[in-house]
Amino acid sequence: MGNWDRGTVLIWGACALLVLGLGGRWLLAQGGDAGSGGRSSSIGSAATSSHSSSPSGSVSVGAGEEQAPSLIVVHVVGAVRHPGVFRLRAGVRVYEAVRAAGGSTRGADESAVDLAAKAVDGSQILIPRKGQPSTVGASGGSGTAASSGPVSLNSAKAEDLDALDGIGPALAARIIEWRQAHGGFKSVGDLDQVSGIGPAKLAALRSHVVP
Amino acid sequence: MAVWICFCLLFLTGPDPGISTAHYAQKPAQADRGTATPGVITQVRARAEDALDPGLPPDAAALLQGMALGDASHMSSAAKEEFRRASLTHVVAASGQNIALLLALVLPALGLLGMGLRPRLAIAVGLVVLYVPLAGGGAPIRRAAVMALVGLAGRVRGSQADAWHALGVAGTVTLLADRSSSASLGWQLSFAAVAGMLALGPPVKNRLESMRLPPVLAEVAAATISATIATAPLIAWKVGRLSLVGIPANLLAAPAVAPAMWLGITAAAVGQVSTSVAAPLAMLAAIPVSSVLEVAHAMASPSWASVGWHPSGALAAVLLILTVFGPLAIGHGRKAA
Repeated sequence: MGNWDRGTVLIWGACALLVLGLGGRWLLAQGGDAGSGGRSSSIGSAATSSHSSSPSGSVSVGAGEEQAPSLIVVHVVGAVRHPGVFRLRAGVRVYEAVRAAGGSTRGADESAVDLAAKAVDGSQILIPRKGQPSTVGASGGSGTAASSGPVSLNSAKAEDLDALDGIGPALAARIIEWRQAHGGFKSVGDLDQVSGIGPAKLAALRSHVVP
Repeated sequence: MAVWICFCLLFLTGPDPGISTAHYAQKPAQADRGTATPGVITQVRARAEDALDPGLPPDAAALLQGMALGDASHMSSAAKEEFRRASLTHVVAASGQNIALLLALVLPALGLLGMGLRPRLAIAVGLVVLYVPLAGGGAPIRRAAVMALVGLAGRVRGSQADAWHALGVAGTVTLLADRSSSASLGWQLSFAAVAGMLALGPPVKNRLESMRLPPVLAEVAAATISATIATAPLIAWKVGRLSLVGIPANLLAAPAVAPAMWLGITAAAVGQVSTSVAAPLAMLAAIPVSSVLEVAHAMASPSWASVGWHPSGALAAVLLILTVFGPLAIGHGRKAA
């Protein structure tokens, strides 16, 4: 380190000043806007960070939101190597979605699923194991967990929500409406915001639903 | 060479690279699968996350966590969008950069303590293996880990590890482990970035050094520029956007990225034992982290920062090949002449 010439020192110094300057500028802007809820960006929604963890939390190219026409999102589950949520090119068939999930495993019963069908945006593709029943849900079926376990607010159909104690067809429809308007429930607590669900009903439903 | 032939065979017989844009790792629960003590990873992550948030402004804390652990889930959607527009998303994705910086921090530090080469390399291998599940276990970091391990193994044996060979091994291994990787955008970007750095990096670095930039800065700048250029066609093909401010944004953010990651990783490590000792480190990290946020904000604000571009898969592939093989061909041509 002793044999740095002036040029090198100057450049490193400039880097340090740059970092300090930019960093300081951002921190000061935060301090000033603390009251008004964060610095607004020209992008639009200056939402403050939410600490809920969503299933698809990775930052990776989430620009799919602006690109709705050419991308679809499907949930591949069951006897596949890598079950999960995938973003695929629109127009792909179910067999390509299964391939994206690593292909089916040995015990899979592929005859139960129409592999040639077009993969539907927002659907769950369930590849059952031999001997298991199958349900391919379009627009948010809850697969084989229909009658047991908590209902998923974000993917349940109206009939599944209706089946819950305390929710009738009208309220189920409002839940789905809210879900579509707000892009989904980040937590069970968000149910509070649906008209017709107050603290008492929310408390009663809490153990029966998941986001 | 054999490695690359295997790689090509695996790649060509895999799923269509165009069908998927991303394979979401299903958060720590899935990353834990297959390890003997899944709970341990979650606990370590939880302590790391605690250590990295001693009362910083929310976006800064979220970014610090993203840089150290590769988990950007707490970042606000506005901040994430700014990062996309400025082509800075890779900073928060767990990738080779994390591992490279981790090793760059640990190896010399252990050397100062007087450790010999072999024990140091052995510890480095252990750290890489530990860091992967901690950082979410996604495709880019697995690729990076394999490359790092090949490189480290080479150094243990005493031979100069050839980076291209390591990349080929990493590609083959990750494809063998998970055939759907070749369709995953994260995996593709990770490869394109490294290939770009290996191919374009040296010529760019020579150019910068001839402009009298210190070698370390020239190396970082060259890596940044070449990775951005190499990944741009792929991003445009899959996502439909080209960031015009990507190179200046990455260059301005570069001096802050290393200190932020080092402080973050150190705070996460120290925080396993004591949160109060880790807190000042995390607070110190706030400065470089805020610098990155400021760069993203400033670079993303012009409306022309990111433009739509929808090249076909073929065009994107041609551009990527030119970016990678062009400099190599020119280099070979010069040597032959």
